[in-house]
Parts: sequence; C-alpha cells; structure tokens
Amino acid sequence: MSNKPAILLIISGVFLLLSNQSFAQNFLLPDGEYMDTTSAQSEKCQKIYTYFYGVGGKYPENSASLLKEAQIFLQQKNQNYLNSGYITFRFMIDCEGKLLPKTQVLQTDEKYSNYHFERNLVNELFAFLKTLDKWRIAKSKGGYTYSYKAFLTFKIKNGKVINIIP
Amino acid sequence: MAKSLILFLNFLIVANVSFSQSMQTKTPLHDCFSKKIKDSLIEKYLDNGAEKYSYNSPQWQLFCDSLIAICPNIAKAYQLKAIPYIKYGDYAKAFPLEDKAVELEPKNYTAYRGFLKCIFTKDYEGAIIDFQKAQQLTPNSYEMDHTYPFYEGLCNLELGNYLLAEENFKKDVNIQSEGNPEKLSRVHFNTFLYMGVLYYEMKDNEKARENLHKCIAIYQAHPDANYYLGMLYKREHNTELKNKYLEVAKQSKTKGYDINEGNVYYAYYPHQITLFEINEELK
Repeated sequence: MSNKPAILLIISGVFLLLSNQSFAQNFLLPDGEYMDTTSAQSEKCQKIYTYFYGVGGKYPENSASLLKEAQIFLQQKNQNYLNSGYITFRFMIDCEGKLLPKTQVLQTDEKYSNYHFERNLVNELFAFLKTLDKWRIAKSKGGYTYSYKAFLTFKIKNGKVINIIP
Repeated sequence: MAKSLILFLNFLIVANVSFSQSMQTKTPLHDCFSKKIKDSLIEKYLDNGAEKYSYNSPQWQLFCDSLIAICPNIAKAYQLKAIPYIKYGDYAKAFPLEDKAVELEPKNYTAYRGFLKCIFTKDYEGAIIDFQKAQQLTPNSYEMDHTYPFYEGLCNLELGNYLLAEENFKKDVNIQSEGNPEKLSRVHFNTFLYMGVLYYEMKDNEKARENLHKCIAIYQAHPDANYYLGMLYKREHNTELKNKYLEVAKQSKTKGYDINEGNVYYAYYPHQITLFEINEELK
C-alpha cells in the first residue's frame, strides 16, 4: 500500500511525457515562434556556422521526391485540413549532419501575410521534418566541418501540401 | 481635480497632434525626386554601403534602413533589404518589401518579383501575373538570363497547363533568336531542357528527345537533360540507353555539374533532379 503514491507519480510522469510528444507546444521568444527551444549541439562542432546556400546544404532530394514522402507521411495521419499558404521551419544542421532540436516556425497565408494554420497540421509537418536524416555534412576545403542554418517550407493549398521549398 | 486632469489630457492630445503634423510636413533634407540625388544616395548607402557587407550582417539592414529613412522612394533599398529574408524563408518580411519596390519602380522590379515567386516560393499563378505585367511594361526583356515567357513556361509546366507552356517556350525561342532561324544558336540550353521536359510530360517522346538532344549538344554534361533522356528510354523499355544516360547524369552530378542557373544554391528549379533521383532509377 505504501508504494501506491510512487506508482501513481511514475504513471503521471509517463503520461505527461507522452502527451508532450503528441501535442508539441509552440514557444514565443523575442525573435519569433518556436516549435522547440532546446539548445543542444555536439561538442565536436565549432561555435561558428554558415547558411545552407553557402555549403550546398539544400536537402539532397528534389522537391518532388520530398513532396511524395511528406504526402505519404501525412496520409498515415489521415487528417483533413483547410486553408492555404506557407509553413516554414528554420533550424540548424550541426557539423555531423544532425538536425538540432531548436526550430523556429513561420506561417503565412498565400499572400505572404502572417497567419496561423491548424496546430495539428503544423505539428504533423514538424514530425515529418524530424524524420529527414540525409542532411549533408558541410565541409571546407581544409576538411573542417561546419554547422549551418537551413529551412524547409511546405506550400499548402486547401490543407494539402503541394510543394516543398527550397 | 478631475477637471484639471481632463484639461491636462486634452492639452497633451492637441500637442501630440500638432507635433505629428509638424513632423509629417517637415521638408526632407534631400530632394528625393531628383535623379542625381537619388543616384548619389544609392552609391553612398547601397553600392558603397550595404553591398560592402554580407547580406546577413546587421550593417546590410542598417544601410538599407538609413536610405529608406532619408528617401523612402528608392526601390532598390527595399529590394536589397528583402534579400536575406527571401533566401532564408521569411516570406512575411520579404514580400511587403518586394511589393514596395514594385510599387515604386514597376518597370524594374515586376519581373524580379515574378522570378522570386516562380523559383523561390513556387507561387506559379502569382508569378504568371507578374511576368505578364512585366511583358507589358518592358516587352521582350530578360530576368536572370531568361525571357519572361521562359518563366511563364516553367510555371505553366508545373501547373500542368502544357499547351500554354508549349506556347510560352516557343515565344521564348522566338525572342532569343529574334524570330530568325539562323540565330537559333543563341537559344539557352535550359530552354531546350524545359521544352524536352514538357514534351516528356506530354508523352510526346519524339519532341522530348529532339529538345533534350539539342540541350546536350550545347551542354554535354547537363545532368538533368541526361536524366530525362534516361527516363524517356525507360518509358520505351530500352534499358541499355536508359542506363547509359542515367550513368552520364550520375557522373556529371558527382563531378559537380548542375543545371547552371545562378540561384540554384537557394532553391531547386522546377523538375530539377538530384543524385538521389538518379540513384533511385539506377537501383
């Protein structure tokens, strides 16, 4: 009987952790809205970074291939959404080619005005982003590896993803 | 006491209105409508200011903002200010600036905004509207090495409006060659690439083959042209030629050859392929 509170506490903790994963919270910081604010980077990486376009860092599949993968991923969720525009995630790829958790989210309508899509759609696209694991490792001619800032935008038409940028 | 407070607040409001009006009617330090003065400010704040720094630096924004504060009617300041935003996916910041540049100098910036919509944000309907407007403003001009109908052709290709795209690419060829069949050698290899891709999508194998070969005749290592030739032979169940062209595409990509467009670092062009798509077909 004396173990009951401890067991309840553990069950509550597990439930909280699971519910947190299912319904990712957006965080408002002075420079914008974030899906995840966790700052973590491998100690092997230098504290300098560049942008994806300086290191050939677009995701190494074309827009049509990525779009197919995104559509299959979303079909599994079997949810219907409305509205049109752009959902952009901005993040860092570290010197080992790993996507870091800290991710900003920007959303606009079709006319590029600030907007908010249904939370579940944004969460599903963020979950899809986290499945992408072929990011390039940025290397200098001297063999040094760098972290770089990258982004992925989902163009949405009537709730469906119709294109992926860049 | 309450009366005094109301009187004091009224005074504040009146003073504020008067101050705002005096600020608005204040004569600018420069004649912002003088071409000579505008050119000298562009030289000082943009050519020898912002553009001496990386566009991701705070100085870039400071120089653009300073010029906008001095003369808010210089389109180039807005266009340059938008560059880091468009290249890093912040469209809510980028496009109001592009719109302002178009409003101030439609002849200089309408086609540029169309280009951004076509290549960067895949807003094909919006890009077509801009290019058609640009064609009226500056007929038969070029944006980023290509005619306006070329970009319209890309947009219509991506929208599945194949007959319109065909018409666009024919116009593109006509503008580049000035309607003279003897000047067809002036036609850009990517015009032939996209005509080939268009006919490939239309399942017109002969026309696709003809145009892709024209592209390769100019740029032999073109990875995308070789890939689509490979796909054409795949459709025709010719495994030998399919593999031949896909292998050329793979080698070209591995050696660093690309579609050879200036903005390819920032965004994939329509129908552009990567090593991933080639390897998937070679499996």
